[in-house]
Amino acid sequence: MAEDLLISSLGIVANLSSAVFIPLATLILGRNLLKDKKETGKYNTIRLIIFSTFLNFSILAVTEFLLRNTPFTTPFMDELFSAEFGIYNTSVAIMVTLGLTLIFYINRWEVLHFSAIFFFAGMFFLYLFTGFYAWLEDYTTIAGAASIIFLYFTAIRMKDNGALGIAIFFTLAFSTQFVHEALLSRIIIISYVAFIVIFSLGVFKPFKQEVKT
Amino acid sequence: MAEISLLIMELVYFTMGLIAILTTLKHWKMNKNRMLMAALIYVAAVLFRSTIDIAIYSFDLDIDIKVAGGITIGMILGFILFTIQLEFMLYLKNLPKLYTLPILCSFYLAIGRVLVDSSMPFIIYAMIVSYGSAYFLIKDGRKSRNGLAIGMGLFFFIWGLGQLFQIEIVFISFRIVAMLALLLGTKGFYEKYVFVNVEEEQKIMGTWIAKLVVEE
Repeated sequence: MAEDLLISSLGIVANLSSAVFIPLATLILGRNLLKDKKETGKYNTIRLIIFSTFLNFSILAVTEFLLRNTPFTTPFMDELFSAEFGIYNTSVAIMVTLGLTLIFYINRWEVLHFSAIFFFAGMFFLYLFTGFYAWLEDYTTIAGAASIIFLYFTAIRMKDNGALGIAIFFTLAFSTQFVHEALLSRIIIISYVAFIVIFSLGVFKPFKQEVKT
Repeated sequence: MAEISLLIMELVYFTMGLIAILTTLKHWKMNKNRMLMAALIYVAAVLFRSTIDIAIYSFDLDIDIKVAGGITIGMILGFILFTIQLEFMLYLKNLPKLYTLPILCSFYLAIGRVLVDSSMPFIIYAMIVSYGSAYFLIKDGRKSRNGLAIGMGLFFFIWGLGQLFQIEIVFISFRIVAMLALLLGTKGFYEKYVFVNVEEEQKIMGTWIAKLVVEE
């Protein structure tokens, strides 16, 4: 009884904090991006990719919160959220795509800069044209795992705080897909929300001296 | 009989392509220009496709054999050629960030063709690649007075135009005209006869008139 109450309370905290703090962190990152643009006159691509990743995650968190925790749900919205190429799957796929793009940018693999975006866009258009979506799940899993491994590798090699932050966030976010224990899953959600807030405030700086990219 | 005339036309097309390759190779040896090398690779790919066509007309081969779904061997060759054509364009425009685009486009179009028996996406892709490349090459060629770029642009344009006709003899005729335009580009025809230097012409004319005045 007490455990059920704890799980349900943690669930509310996890969902609510996701819906509130992730968009807030995105706003902070967006403000930093604009500030940077004002100073240098152009957008910093790496900051832009990180912002897009968080913006995408914010949309996902808010939509999920509205659908799962409020009465504002309709069968149409529910289907739009959970369809093969629905909001949920597409958002996760876009995030891993941006993760790969970030790796290519930081490592200056110029030929591959847009390859992940092209690959995902191709898959999306193929779905629109033929209804074929069988690769989406495999792509998300493989690209997600590759993103995490390469982000850690890149972060350590380049001493890049941004890459390390995204790597930790991806690790926590992806682990929820494989953890079926309700209590543990909610704790992980609360931890990545807390981490996102720390990251967006610019406090997360394990590498004091970054290698210029 | 029709096959023999098609074979002869294809051989003419192939020979002109070969002359274009040899001329470009000669120029490349002199100045090592990367555009010439890219053009060489592209024309070599076109000629490779042409040798297959020669084999088809000589031995009555059928390349419309379906490999999987609606995709045929001929279409795979088409995909390879368009991939090389778009890569050539991106190389000329110095856009290495987009190098993976033609490969992925062709890959997904091929998969789409396997799943759905419709050639419309392929036709749209082919038209965008042909006319897009032609537009940029002719525009750049005019601006930089580069005959080879104009030749390549005209080649893509006329070749793409020929694709609209489903009558083989018309299609091959267009290809021959396209190859002729390219050959003229490699031979420096456009620099000599199309891009007439107006200033230089006026200067010559001025000298000539001045000479006449002095003589009088």
